Amino acid sequence: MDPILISLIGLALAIGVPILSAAITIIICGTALAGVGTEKPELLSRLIITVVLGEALAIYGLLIAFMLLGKLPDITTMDAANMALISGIIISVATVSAGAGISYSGSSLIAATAENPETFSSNVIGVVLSEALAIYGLLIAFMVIGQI
Amino acid sequence: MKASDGNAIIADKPPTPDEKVPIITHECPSYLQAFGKLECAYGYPSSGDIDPIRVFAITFPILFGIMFADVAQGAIFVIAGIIFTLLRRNGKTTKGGDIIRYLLISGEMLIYIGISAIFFGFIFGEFFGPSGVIHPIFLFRIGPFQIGGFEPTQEPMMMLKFAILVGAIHISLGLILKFINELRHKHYKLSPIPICCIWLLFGGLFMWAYWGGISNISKWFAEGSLMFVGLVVLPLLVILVVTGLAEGFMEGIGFTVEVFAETLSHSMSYSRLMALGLVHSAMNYLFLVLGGVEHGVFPLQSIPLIAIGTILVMIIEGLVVFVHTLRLHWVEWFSKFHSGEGIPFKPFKST
Repeated sequence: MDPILISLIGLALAIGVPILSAAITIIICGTALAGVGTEKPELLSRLIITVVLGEALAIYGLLIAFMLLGKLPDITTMDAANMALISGIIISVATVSAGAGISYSGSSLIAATAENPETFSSNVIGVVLSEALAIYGLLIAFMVIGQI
Repeated sequence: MKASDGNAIIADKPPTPDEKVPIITHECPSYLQAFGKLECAYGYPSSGDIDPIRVFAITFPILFGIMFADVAQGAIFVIAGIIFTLLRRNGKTTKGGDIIRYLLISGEMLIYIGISAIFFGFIFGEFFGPSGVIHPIFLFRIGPFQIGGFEPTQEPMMMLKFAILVGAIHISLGLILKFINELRHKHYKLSPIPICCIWLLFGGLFMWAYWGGISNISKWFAEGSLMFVGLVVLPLLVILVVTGLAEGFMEGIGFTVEVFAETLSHSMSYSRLMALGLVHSAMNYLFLVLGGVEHGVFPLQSIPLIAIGTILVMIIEGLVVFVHTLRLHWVEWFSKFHSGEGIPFKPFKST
């Protein structure tokens, strides 16, 4: 196969899948947030963290896609193209798993905080730890791109 | 006896040191009000703990500025902050919706984060993105860590090292505050633990920098094995012995494993400083390319595009960067010393 085609597939994965997982996360957390907002609007400023962390997943994909786009002229061999593809797969899997974590624990966090606001500081751990998963994937994808 | 007509006895006992006592919340000075709100959204400090608001008000803008490094957009923040502050001082807070009220409260905070963004914009050479108007200013170099003098988009690994260094300093600041808290609670047996955590943190960082990164990890155990024992294993052993003596050895083993994993994952978490900083300059770069800006020359037709781009970047990126700064403080920093379990003292009032 053509090296450019393979690296373009990697690029498409790197931008497409994170955006999809960010969208699903925002759909799940945003609807939960809207429900709570009608009852207790004073909690919204704290709970918005779930939606914004979901949105950040798309930004990580954007970063990797940007890096790949900049590297595209240098990709001439199959090895470099495979690395581009692999980095796209890494960030895709990492953001999908982070998105799953954020959407489940985020919507539970929103419901639990509405019930008892004092539990927020311990329950928020689940959301931010799932979000950290995406960072680990981002770091490794980043280092793989550095090898090209 | 007299107060209750002889029907009840009122005993007055001072609380024991480990008992939870409501804390007296001081009114924040108006220039720290926004930070106070952010801190209390997580929880109030426990009784006897140090109130970190003044340190928080310094570190928050610094981390924000690293991720939002831009001279021009920082200046916009400063101007907006001054306008909001003046509006609030003139007492126009009652009108307007929720968002306007939030902005008015955070007027001073916008000034601080704007100043920090301008500072890091000069260091990383960003003016509406990497447009070439300002060249990166080299400050100084500590071993492999270079402060300033490189463009983050050109040398991402340099930026990653810088981000991890900032993270290590930030975490150790939190650990020092924990040390002070342990002394204030007179837990002298546990007080060496934060010091050992700092030892472990900087030991690991030194190993990482000295042997040239994770990719040479085999060298850590071959030539660097003595150094590895001294910098990483020894602090863990000290933590194990100290907690073991204080709380039993099963607790000690669990805690030591937790400290090791936490140190690693928390310092890696600071690589988001690099990621969001790069995204910020990449998003701006997109609009610079669309507008045809080259070598610091802004053609006339690029100005509307740059304006749209700036508004978009400042709203979306600003929100994301803000939440990430908040998250770094809430999770990586507050978890060291700020329990958030304090109960604010509410005076009994007859209405």
